[in-house]
Amino acid sequence: MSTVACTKFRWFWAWQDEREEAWLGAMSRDGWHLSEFGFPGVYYFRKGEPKDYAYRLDFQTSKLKDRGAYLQLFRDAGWEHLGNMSGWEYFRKEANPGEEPEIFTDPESKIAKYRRVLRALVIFFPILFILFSTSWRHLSERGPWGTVVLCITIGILLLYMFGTMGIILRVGKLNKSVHKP
Amino acid sequence: MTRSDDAQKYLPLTESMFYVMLSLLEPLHGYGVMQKVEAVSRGTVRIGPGTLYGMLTDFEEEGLIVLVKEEDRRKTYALTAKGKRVLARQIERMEIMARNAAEAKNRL
Repeated sequence: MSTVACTKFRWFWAWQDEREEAWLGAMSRDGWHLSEFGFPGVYYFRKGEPKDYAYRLDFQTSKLKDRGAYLQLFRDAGWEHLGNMSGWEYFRKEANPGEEPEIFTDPESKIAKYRRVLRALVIFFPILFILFSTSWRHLSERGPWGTVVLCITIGILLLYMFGTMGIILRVGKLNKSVHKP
Repeated sequence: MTRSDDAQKYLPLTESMFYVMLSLLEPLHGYGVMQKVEAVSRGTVRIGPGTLYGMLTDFEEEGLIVLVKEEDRRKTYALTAKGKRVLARQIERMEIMARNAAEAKNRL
């Protein structure tokens, strides 16, 4: 039997992890199972029997104290670790009919996950800010190139702010679900 | 600060936290906690590994549980004296709730 593989590029924002999980699950139901990752947004799939897999994403940084114990706990609970893509940990588990396996079972731990994402993003802010102020200062001296650099920097800054805002809104929504009567 | 006050800041526990602490009255490793919680709650509470890992890390940092054994990357924890105080205070709250619940049930 020959292995059939395919590569897909798809972009998900950090707060769209549930949409990403659903997409990976749908791919597996069509027989395309996630096998490897490339650059952010690049997914490799391998063809096999269609399966009802639940894919779930966690986000961890180097602050994770004991990665070995962390992964062991997931394995013990029946989750297969697929890999890591820029901080995102990918897990999957075969779902029994009518069952929806979850790695996070309360809103508090879901909020904690997005807080880890936000903390990781905050680190980039000073870098972007320096890049922005430098290109702004050199705008007049550098002629057209200065403008190009400035436009790119503003673009990155806007994407960054868009990404951060999306997560903040997501956390706000989850917070509301904790405090609902 | 009195002893009861240092337990106060953890109250009320969420349902998941309550069951995790309850199951750690005896030493258990992570997956053991998950199984025990599901069993004693009669399937009403399930705890995923992501949620449990974060909870165990926080509890250990707060001194509510302590690592008693580590084997093949599996960590066995048990409740500390502080953890038991917090659980005892939570149970007091729940007893009040249970009495109120029993009384209200007759009027429904």
